[in-house]
Amino acid sequence: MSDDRTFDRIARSWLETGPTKAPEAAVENALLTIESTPQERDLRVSWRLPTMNNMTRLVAALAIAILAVGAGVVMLRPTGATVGTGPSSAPATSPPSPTVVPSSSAAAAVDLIPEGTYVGPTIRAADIVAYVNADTKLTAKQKTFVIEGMFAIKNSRTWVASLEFRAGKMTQRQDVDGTVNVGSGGAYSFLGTDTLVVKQQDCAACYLVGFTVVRAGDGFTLTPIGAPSDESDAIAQKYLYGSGPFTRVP
Amino acid sequence: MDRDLVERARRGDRDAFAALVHQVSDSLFAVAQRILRDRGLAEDALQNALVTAWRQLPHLREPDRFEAWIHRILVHACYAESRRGRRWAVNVRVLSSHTASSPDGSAALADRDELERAFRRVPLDQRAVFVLHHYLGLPLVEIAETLGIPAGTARSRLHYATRALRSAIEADAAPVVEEGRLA
Repeated sequence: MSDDRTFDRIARSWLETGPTKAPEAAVENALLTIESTPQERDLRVSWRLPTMNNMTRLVAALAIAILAVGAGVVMLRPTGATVGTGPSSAPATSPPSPTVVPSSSAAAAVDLIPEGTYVGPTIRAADIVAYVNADTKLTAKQKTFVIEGMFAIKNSRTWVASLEFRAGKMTQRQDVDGTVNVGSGGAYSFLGTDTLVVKQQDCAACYLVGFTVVRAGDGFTLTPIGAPSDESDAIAQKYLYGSGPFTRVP
Repeated sequence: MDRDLVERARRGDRDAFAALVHQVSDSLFAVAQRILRDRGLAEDALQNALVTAWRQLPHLREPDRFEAWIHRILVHACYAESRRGRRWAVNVRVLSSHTASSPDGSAALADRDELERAFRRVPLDQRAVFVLHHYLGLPLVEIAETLGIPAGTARSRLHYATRALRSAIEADAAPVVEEGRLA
């Protein structure tokens, strides 16, 4: 081969051979699939459990603040024998010595949920649809939104939620009939020994969402802190985070 | 690309999206077929890319970038199809009957056969850059934007793909090439 231009010419000529027209059947199949496929909602709107009213936000913020203060106290307290004995306690006379950290201290919180991907149970899409349809607090329009927008399970068979914890970021995904949709993501941290705090990303007004974590074998269950602001929020919490236990994927 | 169609499709208009599909599907399929070198896989990649594009269209922030955006989806669909690896065993390579009569006579059958074999050994991410550059004629900067990778990465992928293909041709052709055949 003599030069780059020669190679480019050969490469282009070679690439130009071959089919250039999409098979009608493939296009028609795709369009047929699209007929029954809902579009995703904007993640920044639909996946941030966004419908908290001001009172709920205040309660959640207070709960998180209280937890943060409590965790701070736990993390900053001295580990010696004088902890909790009050300011009038006599100065320690023995020399400082290494102290065994209690298992319930902040050190345990670091590994509250080890990095990895955790999958919830497989749920029949029809069960979620039935649950939503039976909810008397939702309007027909809201039901459609929840089924087609939030969960994208119209005419689907199975639904599975998964949570990935990696490098300080939590990513929530939903698997509908084997196809994964990225739901939402956020920076996460742990407070104390049982609280997960997630700061939602990619949203217009990011805020913290707190969860109580209960370890279960190699996985965990999550309970959102704070009452849902409305019924669709409650359903989102029930399935997106509360569908556990979430089990670690090998 | 009709911006109005993209806007309407973003808002959920299936007819508008179907019109868009008919505008871009040939190009998408051609690119997929050239990256994957397999008609069946390319068909699957095309279908998956179209469905994914429909689902994710509300997230498209710049309607004017629709074509680049959907090509990016297509390339990722190609990666996914390749991983699934179906039908490789029954894939049949067909060399074009027009091969020997290309306008400048430079692309000989032997070159094409070597290119075909060598290209199949090139990693898929390098193939994608190679096809976007040499088939669609996209500059590297645009390829980088389309694929969401740094320009340097696009450049290195093209470099490695080119080097692999050149080596394959040179290794095969050198002993028998007629002087001036490739000039």
